[in-house]
Amino acid sequence: GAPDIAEGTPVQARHSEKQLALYGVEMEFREAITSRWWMTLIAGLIAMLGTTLALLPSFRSIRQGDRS
Amino acid sequence: MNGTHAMLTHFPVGFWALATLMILVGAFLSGRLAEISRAALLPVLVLSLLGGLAAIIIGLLVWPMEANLASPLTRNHILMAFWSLGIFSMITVLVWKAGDAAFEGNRRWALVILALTGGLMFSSAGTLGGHLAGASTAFSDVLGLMGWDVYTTFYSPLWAIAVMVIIGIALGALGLMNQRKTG
Repeated sequence: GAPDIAEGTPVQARHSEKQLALYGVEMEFREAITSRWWMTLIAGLIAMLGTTLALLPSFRSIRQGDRS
Repeated sequence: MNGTHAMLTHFPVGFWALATLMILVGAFLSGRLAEISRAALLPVLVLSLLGGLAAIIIGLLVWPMEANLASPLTRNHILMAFWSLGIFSMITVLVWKAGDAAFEGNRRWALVILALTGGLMFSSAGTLGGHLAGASTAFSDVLGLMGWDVYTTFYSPLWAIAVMVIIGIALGALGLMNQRKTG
């Protein structure tokens, strides 16, 4: 959209009503959405870490005993 | 920095795509090609993590953090980049731990599921980066068909976040207990 902005094309000419409504919600609730986004990002990483720890015992090297 | 970031992202995306293919070949095929794929997977994964870290660090320097957080597209790009790094870190740790036995028995299914999930995530991170650099791909439309308009922030309801954290903590505790039991 940068060329349109540079030419000064009004937003309504290059966005649907639905898009503008969604952007409006994003701006109006920006802080709440950003905080929920952070929580989602971190919760996903916690779930990945937990899943890794749960899978690790099943991924032990079969030959590990031979080394000791 | 934008150009440097675009250049650096070729490394994780290339290595992750290669690792995903190697996992699929190693899990479903037999013969020399499958053997080579299984044997060479760990170095590819380690290099992918180094590339991913470099791309993320440089990526965070492209714009000020305040600008990054102000845009839904950038928020989505950051989330998918970190989740991609997370998924492929999981695969790296598991493959490193299992050594030659990473593909034996049901383990291969865990690797296949993780690799395909990671593939979806780094593809999303890539197409979102394309939007930010002014070169989007048709993959965004595929995400749209799956119900996610990439111009809106990707976030979960509070209950889903709680479920993710509870699952993470419960599985982590279970894994640690099992590790102690089996020594």
